[in-house]
Amino acid sequence: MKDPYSILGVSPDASDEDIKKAYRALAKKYHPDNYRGNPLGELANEKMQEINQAYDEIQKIRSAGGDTGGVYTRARTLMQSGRLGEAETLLDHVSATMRTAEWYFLKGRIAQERGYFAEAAGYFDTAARMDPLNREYTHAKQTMYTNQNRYGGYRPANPDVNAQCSMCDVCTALYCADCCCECMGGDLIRCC
Amino acid sequence: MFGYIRPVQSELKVKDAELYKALYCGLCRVMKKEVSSVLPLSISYDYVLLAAVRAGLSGETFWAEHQICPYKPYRRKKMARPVKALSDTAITALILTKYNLDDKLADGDISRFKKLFLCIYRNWIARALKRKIKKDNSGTLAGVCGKVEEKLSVLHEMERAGETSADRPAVCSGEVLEAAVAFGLEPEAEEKLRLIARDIGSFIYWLDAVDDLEKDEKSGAYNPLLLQYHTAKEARKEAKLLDMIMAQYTARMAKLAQTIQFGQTSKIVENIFHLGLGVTSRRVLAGEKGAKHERSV
Repeated sequence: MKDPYSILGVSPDASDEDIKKAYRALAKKYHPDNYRGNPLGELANEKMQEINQAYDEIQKIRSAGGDTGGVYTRARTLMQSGRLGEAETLLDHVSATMRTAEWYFLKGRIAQERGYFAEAAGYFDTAARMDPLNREYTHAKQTMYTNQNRYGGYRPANPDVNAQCSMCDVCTALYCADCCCECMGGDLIRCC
Repeated sequence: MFGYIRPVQSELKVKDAELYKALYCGLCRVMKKEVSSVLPLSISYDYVLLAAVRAGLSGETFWAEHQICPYKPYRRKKMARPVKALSDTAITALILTKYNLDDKLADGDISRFKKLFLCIYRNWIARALKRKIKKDNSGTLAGVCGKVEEKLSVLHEMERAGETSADRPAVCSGEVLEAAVAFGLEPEAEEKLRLIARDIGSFIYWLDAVDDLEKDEKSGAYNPLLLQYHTAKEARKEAKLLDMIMAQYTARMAKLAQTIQFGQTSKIVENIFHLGLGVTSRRVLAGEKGAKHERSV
């Protein structure tokens, strides 16, 4: 889905009232009743659905208390355009009491982009703990650790030494064990 | 540069293993002939990867020829002919060696004999660097050295302040290498080389921090992992996290390397990124000795 704020034509820091106004204006413009019998009716219907979805999305974000003033949406947009410094400054201005799981997730993404992987793992961990049902956060945490298998899965402890146990090793071990047993009066392998 | 960045030789084809050896010997020869006769003392495997990446980015091809090795004159060895990628890598090695020696001498925690040797070596290297800067009319090298110095001072400041997060000094160390390679290529190619060099630098810093845990614990030298986890034993318990960090760097470098046409060195580079780095990091994490400064190929 596109950025819900851009669909409604408002900025992410717009007030709830402004968003409602923008939504009503667009709903009035694209309402299917206005296009009855018009070949553009189908298009208007699609647009109306998009507007409704965008409005619902914004309501959801704001009611979760996570994006007051659209800080997180703005931070995401900045991060997408590679302006990590600005995104970080924006997030750092969020007071400690208002920091939600998304705040930790976004900080983790910035740290990851910069190569601060230990720090990023800590942030993702906190985000996933605060909101364990959010797939985005748990996925970010998991991918960091599953990345370990990306380099070929070739895991010898020491590539210069063949540490595998061969048939010769097994035979030698059995022969030694048999000798020890015979020295003490017993027998491990009867045939030799 | 500590010689951590190596391929798994048993997984290389014979022709690729020969090319790798030829690159190593060719780089050594270029260091000796074009820069300073003592610079080969600082050669490490890490520079071979940098030379291969440079050649890939500039589209150069390596040609091997049989030459007498000055360090083993009883046998002729295959050496890569001097090309610009090797010359530029030798200059990177010169810059890094000079500042590394400055660091070691400033440390003060070394024996008198070693200090005398390092002092003579450092002066030799510093003179060679001065000559190179003087010859370079464009002033690029002077700019590179300035940038390296600037990044090193930030790194030293972090160490003095006792930075507990290893992330920051690691990235800063990566930026030192990034600054030391940023010359001699087209802007777009240079950007790619800088990104790879930055990750290589950070990766090496992490490996070295883990590898030196016990040594630093004994000597009391700065090690961010010891500041964070207090003891070497505790730090080694975080093997999963450390392995993840190494894997992240490796994956990022491998991804970037896929955008470069390496040509004849493609199998070597692929081997280093997909096997070599993983094997080295696991050896270091397992506390095995000899993960760095291994004998010559």
